[in-house]
Amino acid sequence: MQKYVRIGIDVGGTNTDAVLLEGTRIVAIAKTNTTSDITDGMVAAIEKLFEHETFTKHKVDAIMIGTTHFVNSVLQAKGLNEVLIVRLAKPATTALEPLANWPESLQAAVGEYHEIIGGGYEYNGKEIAELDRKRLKELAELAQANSIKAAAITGVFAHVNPEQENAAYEVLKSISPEMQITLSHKVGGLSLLPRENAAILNAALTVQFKHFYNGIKTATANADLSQATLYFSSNDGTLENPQDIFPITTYGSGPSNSMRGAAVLAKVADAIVVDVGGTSTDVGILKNGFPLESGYEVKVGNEAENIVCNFPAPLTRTCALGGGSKITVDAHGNIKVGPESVGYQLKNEAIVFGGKTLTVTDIAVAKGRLQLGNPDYLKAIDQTIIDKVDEFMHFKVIEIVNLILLFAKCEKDIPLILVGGGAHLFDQQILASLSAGKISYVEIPQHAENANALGAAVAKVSGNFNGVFQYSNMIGSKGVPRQEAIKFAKLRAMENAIAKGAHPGTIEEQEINETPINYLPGNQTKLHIKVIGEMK
Amino acid sequence: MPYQLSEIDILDIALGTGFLGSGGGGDTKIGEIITKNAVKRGAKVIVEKLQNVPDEALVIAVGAMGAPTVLAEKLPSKEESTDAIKKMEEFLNEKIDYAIPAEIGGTNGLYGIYIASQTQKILIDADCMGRAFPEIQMVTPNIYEGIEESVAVLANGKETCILSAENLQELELLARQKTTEMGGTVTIVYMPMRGKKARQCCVPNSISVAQKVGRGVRNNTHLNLMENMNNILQGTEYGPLEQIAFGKIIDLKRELERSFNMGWVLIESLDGEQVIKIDFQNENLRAVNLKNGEVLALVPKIITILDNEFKPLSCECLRIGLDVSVATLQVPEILRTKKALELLVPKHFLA
Repeated sequence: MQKYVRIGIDVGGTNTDAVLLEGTRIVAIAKTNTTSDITDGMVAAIEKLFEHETFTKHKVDAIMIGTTHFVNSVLQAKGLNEVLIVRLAKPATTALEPLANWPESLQAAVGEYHEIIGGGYEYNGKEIAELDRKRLKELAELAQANSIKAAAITGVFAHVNPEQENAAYEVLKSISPEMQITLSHKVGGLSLLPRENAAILNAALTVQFKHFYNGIKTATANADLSQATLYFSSNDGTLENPQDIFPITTYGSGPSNSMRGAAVLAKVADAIVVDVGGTSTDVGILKNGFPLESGYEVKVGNEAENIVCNFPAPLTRTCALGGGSKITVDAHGNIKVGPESVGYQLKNEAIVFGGKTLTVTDIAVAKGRLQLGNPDYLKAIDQTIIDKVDEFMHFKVIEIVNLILLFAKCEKDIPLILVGGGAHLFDQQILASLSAGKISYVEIPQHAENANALGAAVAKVSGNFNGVFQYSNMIGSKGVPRQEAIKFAKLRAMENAIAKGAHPGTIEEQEINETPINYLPGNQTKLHIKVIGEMK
Repeated sequence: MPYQLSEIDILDIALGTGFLGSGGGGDTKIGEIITKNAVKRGAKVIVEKLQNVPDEALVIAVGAMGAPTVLAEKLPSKEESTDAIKKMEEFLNEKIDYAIPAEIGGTNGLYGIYIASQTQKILIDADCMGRAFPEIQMVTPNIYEGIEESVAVLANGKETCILSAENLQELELLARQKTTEMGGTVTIVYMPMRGKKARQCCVPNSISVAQKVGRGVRNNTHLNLMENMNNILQGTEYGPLEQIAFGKIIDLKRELERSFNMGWVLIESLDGEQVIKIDFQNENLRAVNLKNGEVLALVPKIITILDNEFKPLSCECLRIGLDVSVATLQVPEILRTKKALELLVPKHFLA
C-alpha cells in the first residue's frame, strides 16, 4: 500500500524548517532562514528537501504549515494593520470601551478608531437598539479616508443572533469593498470582551495573513506541488483548510506543534517541553502525548500585560528570549536581554557573523555550545557580560519551568525536553543542576530543531458540526433528547473530519459547546461539536 | 481612618473574590477590568472599616443582579450606577453615605467597588453574604434582624425603576421578574439601612479578606497551594480549604431560567473511577459523588472549581474537556447557624 507522503513546514521568526515524511518515517529535513517575504524561505526549504532524494514531488499528498509568525507580530506589536473597531451595543456596555485593558504598544498599533454605536441584542433576541447605520457609514468613510484596511465588528449576543453583525458587514463593504472584516460571532463564543479581543487581533492580522496565504499558493505552484492539499495548524494543534482558518486561530499552533514534535522525537508521553526560537521561548506541558490545554483565559501578549481571549489553546508560558534576542548594556553596566530580537536578520546582525548586534546566539558560541560564524569576532566582548547573560538565560528558563511544573500536577518526576532552533543555546547539565526536583532528566533529542515542522506534519485533522436543536426533556414532548442530538452531531462532525482526510478509526470527540437560544420558542440550543482524528 | 485602593489592590481583590464566589457572582475578570480601568482613569475608591461606620449613617447594598452569563455578554452601561443611586436618594429623600457590596463573591464584589467609585460613596470593608448567593434575600441582615424597608432600584442605562415589597423574599420575586424584562442583568441598589444595623448584621472585613487571599494566590510559589492557602486564611473567619476532587469536565448542562444560570457539571477523576456532580444556581450549591450518592459539600460551604492554573472558574466559564480541581472552603460562623441554614439551603437539597 502506498504510504501517505507529507511535508511539514514551520515558519518561525528566524528559521524556516521543513520535514518530508513518508508515513511516519523522516525522509528528509531542511532548514533555511526566514526571509523578509516569508514565502521565499519556504520555497527554499522545500527545494532543499528534494535535493538528495529520489522522491518526486508529485507524490506529496499534503503540506502542513505551522507558524509563530502571527504570534510574534502581536508580541512585538509589529506588522499589525490598523483596525476600525466597532461595538454594536449602545447604550449597554459603555462602562468599558474596546481596548480598555490592552497594552499601550498594541493599542497604538491597532486602533485609534474605536467606538461603541447603537445596536446589539438582548439575550431574548430583542434589540438593545437598532443598528446605527448612519454612524457606521460615517465611521466607514473615516476609515477609508485614513486608509484603514480592516475592521472588527462585535455585537452584543451576536453569537446567538448574528443578523446585526452581518448587516454591519454589508454597510462597510458598500463603502470599502476591499476591507477585510472580522465578525466576532465567527471567531468566538459567549462573553463579549474575549470575543471582541479575538476579533480585533484577528482583524489586525488579516492584511498580513492574506499576503502570506497568497505567497504560499504561488510558492507551492512554483515548486510543482499544486496537487498537495494545504493545511494550516490551529491553536489546538489540529489542521484546518486555509480557507476556513482565521489568522488568530494559528496563535497557539507553534507551542502545540513543538510539543507534539518533541513527543515523537524524544519518545515520551509526559514531559515539560521548552521550545527555544529566535525571538521567544515557550514552555508547555505534554501529557499523554498531547499539550495540556490552558484554562478559561488565553493570554495574548507579553508576560506583564495580557489580553484575554477565549479560544482554546495550549497552556504555555512565554518569555521574550531566543537566539536572536538583543543584548544591551547601559552606562551603569546593567544588562538587558530582549525583548527585541534581530529575528531573520541574525546572519547579518549577530557579532559572530560580522554584524554589530550582540545576541544570545553570540553568547552560546562564546561558551562553545554552538559552532557558527567566526568566533574570533567575539574576542572583543567582555567575559563577565558573557558569563552574566549565560547565567541569566539558564535561570530565566528554569524559573518558567518551575512555574509551569506547578500546573503539571504530575505524580512522578518528568523529563525536560528542549526543542526548537535555539535548543542548543542551552547546556543540559546546567539546566539539570538548576532544576529543583520534579525533573527526571534533561534531553535535547536528535532533530530537536525540527520539532515544530515535524509536529505540524503529524498533527491531527479536525471535523466540525454546527446546528440548532430543540431538546426534549420529557418523554412525549416535542424535540430530540439531548443525548441523541449530541450523537447525531458527533456523527456529522466525524464525516466532516473524514472528508478532510482523517482516519475513521482514530476520531475522538474534542469539544462540545451548547448555547441556549432564548429568543426562539421551545428549548432550542445551538450545538457545536468538534472531533479530531489522525491523518490517513 | 478611611483608605484608598490602588490598581494592584483591585487585581488581588478580583482573584480573592473568585475564591469566595463559589462559582457564582459572575466572572471576576469583568469586574476586575471595569474597576481597574476606572481607577486608572482617576476614579477614587475610599474604604472604611465596618466598625467605624456611625450609627445614623445611611448605608445601601450595591451590586449587579441577573444571570452571570448575560452580564459577561452585556456589560453594564456607564450611567446605570449613578442612575440607580440618584433614584434611591430621591425615593428616600436623603443622601446616601456608604455603599456596601451586596455579595463579595465573584464579579459582584468588584462591581460593588465600581459603583461606589462612580457615585462617590465611601465603600465599607464588608458585605452582606460573606460569599455569593443566588437570591437577594439571602443576606445576613435578613437572617438575624429582618429588614425595615424592602426597596430596590434597578437600572440598565435605558430604564431605571423602583420596587418596593413586604419583605426581601417578595422583593426578590419582583426584582427577578423585572431583571428578566430589563435584559437579564441590571445594576441593583437595595436594602437601605442605618450604620448601627450594618455593624450588627453585615459580614466584616470581606474586602480585605478577598485581597489577602488574592495576594496569596498571586504570589503562590508553593507546590502545595492548599497548604499555602490555609496559612493565608489563618486569622480570618474562613477555612479550612480542602480539595475534594480532581479531574476533567465530561458533561455540562446550562440553562437560563428566570435570569438564573441553572445547571450541573460532571467531573470525572483522572483514573475514571469517580464522577462528581455539582449542581448550580448561579453559584455551585452542592457536590455529590455519583458512585455512592455521598454529598461531598453543600451550601453554605463554598464550592470552587479551579482551572489547571489554580484560577477559580465561575460557572459560565466552565467547558467540557477542561482539567479542573474542586476545592471547598468553610464560611464564617454567622452563615452556619440553624437560622441561617433555613434561609440559605434549598429545601430540595435537604430531602
